[in-house]
Amino acid sequence: MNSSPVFEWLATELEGATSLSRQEARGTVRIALREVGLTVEGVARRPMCFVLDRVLPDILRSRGVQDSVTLCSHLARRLDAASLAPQRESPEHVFARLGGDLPSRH
Amino acid sequence: MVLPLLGLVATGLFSVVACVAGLHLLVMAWRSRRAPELWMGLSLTLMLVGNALVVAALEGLPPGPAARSLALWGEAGLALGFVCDVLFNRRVFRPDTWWATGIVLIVSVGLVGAVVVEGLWLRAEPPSAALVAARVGLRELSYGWATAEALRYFGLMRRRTRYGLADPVVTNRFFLWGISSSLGMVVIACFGVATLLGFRGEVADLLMFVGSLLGLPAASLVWLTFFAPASYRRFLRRHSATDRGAASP
Repeated sequence: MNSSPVFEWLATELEGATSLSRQEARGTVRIALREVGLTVEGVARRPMCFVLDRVLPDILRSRGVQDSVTLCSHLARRLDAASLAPQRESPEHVFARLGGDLPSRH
Repeated sequence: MVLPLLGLVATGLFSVVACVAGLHLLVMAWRSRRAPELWMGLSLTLMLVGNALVVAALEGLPPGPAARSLALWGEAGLALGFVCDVLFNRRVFRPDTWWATGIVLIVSVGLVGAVVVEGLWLRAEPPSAALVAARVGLRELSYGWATAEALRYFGLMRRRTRYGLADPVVTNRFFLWGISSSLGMVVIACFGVATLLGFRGEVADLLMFVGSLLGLPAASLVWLTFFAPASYRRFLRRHSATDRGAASP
């Protein structure tokens, strides 16, 4: 299954900014997403910023990453400005539209 | 007398709701040019038309070639409806997975193939038990998959809602869709067994009654899924806010 561009971006950044390996970085982000019910395939920019703010700092600290709060807020700012590939439509978005909770036009 | 009438009312109510929902989705699809609306709208509409033709063949015509032919057209409509249902599931929940493509192929080839086999080779005969069982199995696969995906996603959305990351109304929509699909599975099982029994005897009558009666909750669920009234939305949002308030320190 294809992971979202937001997930790929954060995992790569985390790998570069910490001593975590590629697999460890991806696994850490995956665990953080699971905790709040998000998926690797569908996570978008704004929910990922929430994860960076509220969930990831504690998980990174438990993995021995120094000053995880500062690192995560720095990554959240960069994610906000990053240019990423367009996201595939999530089931949440489709079901919102089907019930009339989102505009049906592009 | 009362029980068959009750079943008829339930089936009629479900048909009206499914028809309105299906046409509503097709209008949405026409305006937005998006696939999920198209697949779900076609699925509801085709199944409704197919079901109406099968019922008309069984109840309205004397047994014979005309009834068989009408029933076959009904089965074709139902088959295409289920194909649209699995296409919706694949497009929305599993766009990149090989096994989802596999399910779409199995259901499409199986159900359309069953209609072709019945139409070409069994024209004068009632369908064999093996053919009916295969058809029921593939329909159960289709609705079983829809149920599993909707309820799995409901679980994820519930967790998101706790953190304020999802709209409780949309979260509830996954639940409603999952439960209505699971009711569909029970209805398919009831009518499948009744068909295998040749629609004769007390057991077949009871199964037909139960299957028809389930149209009542199914109609309510489909209505709430697509046309949830403002009061219901307010109730869900208020309930969710209370939950979040109680959970936070």
